Amino acid sequence: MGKEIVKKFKDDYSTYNLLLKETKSIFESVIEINKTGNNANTLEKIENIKHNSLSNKIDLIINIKVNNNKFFQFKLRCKEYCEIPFFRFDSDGDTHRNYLENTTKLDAQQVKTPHFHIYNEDGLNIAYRTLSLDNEAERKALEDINLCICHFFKEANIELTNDKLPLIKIKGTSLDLDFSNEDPNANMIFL
Amino acid sequence: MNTLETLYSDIVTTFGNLWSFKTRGKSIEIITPFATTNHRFISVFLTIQGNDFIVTDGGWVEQGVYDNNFNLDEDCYKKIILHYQNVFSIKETKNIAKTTYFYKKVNSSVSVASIVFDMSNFISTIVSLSFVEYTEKEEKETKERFNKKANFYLSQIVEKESIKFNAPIDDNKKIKFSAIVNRTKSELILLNYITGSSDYYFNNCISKTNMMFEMALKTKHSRFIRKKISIIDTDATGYIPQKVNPFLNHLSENTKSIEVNWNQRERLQELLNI
Repeated sequence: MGKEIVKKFKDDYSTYNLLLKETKSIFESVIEINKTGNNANTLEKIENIKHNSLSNKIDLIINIKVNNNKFFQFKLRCKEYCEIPFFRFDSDGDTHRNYLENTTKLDAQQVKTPHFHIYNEDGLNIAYRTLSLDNEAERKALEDINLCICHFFKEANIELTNDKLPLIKIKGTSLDLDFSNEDPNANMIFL
Repeated sequence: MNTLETLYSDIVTTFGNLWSFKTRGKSIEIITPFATTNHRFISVFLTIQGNDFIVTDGGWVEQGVYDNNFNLDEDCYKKIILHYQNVFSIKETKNIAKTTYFYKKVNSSVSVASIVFDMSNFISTIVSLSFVEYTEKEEKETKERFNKKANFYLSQIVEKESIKFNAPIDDNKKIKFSAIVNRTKSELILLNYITGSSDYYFNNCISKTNMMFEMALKTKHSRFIRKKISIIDTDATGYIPQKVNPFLNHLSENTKSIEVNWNQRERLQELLNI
């Protein structure tokens, strides 16, 4: 599960900052996703990311819901440092509470999706939205996974080699489902 | 207004600000002020079908969207869910992908707020309580260790496409086995692992295996079952022969199943070749 407080991040926050803020590179220009991950409802692909100054291997994990391709996550993880991803984007899904009771008013603690996740110097999971995500027209455009991953790369300080935009190809599955349905109650019978 | 009344007014306003919604096709997602112990706000999904108003969890609980667990093999957790379902009359159904949906349905708009309240309270509780460790750490580790060992061994001796681990035999996914081998559609071998960190847990595991083997015979696939095999973790601290043997004997006699001790696991190679 996504942990709310990660001790490792708190104890070694300088590495955390290095991992997140320094420039990283991706070499793969076409990312094909066709296999389910640990969860049968989710497609998963892991790509390599190279950190420009650290030698640690960094994984870019892409998860897409099988029955709703607009529901995806991008995660960055450095296993040698910590098993838990240090940066994440959720296109859809649940609303996060930034548990900052001493500094932030309750209603301002609430952060709806789409949103990014980082960890603060206390190791606390903090969700936030960029200006683009708060702009309704841009948010709508970023429902496209290929546009969104560019936004993610910018936010995560990942550079593209040869300035070539990555292309994410999602392979269909054998299940006969509408892959763009964002209404979970659609086509259901409630007796 | 005095200070306390001003504070009260601010509390009500702030709480009120926590409600919001997203349109989702013909439904809306209502984000509620109900939150979980891993700091997520609960969403419910409101749909109108004919004269009915339906509020669901959108399948999010079973899908683990709240980063929650949903382990119905955990008896305590299952009891909590059933308790809430009974008190609030919450129903469940499955979608085409067999994901469980929890829902409430009313036919009067007056009652919609009431079912949103019940559903939110229910989801918030079952998400939060999914993080509780119900089983003692030692027992959990014993089980995980043996599962891993036995799964690995079986995957070495049975071709990948013919074996499923932690697999159900029934359509409702209630009757599960540690592994099911099916080389053809009409030949099933059911395997259950028996382990435990104490003789109490070990015997519980035998009882559960006994029940699962019995129930498998009541499913529509029963005529295809060729063998039922229990793999006994002879390395487990709960494996105390004089305490567990009477139960193991009952299991094999009652269900006509075959016992294979882990320290004689090479027997499986022959047993799994139909």
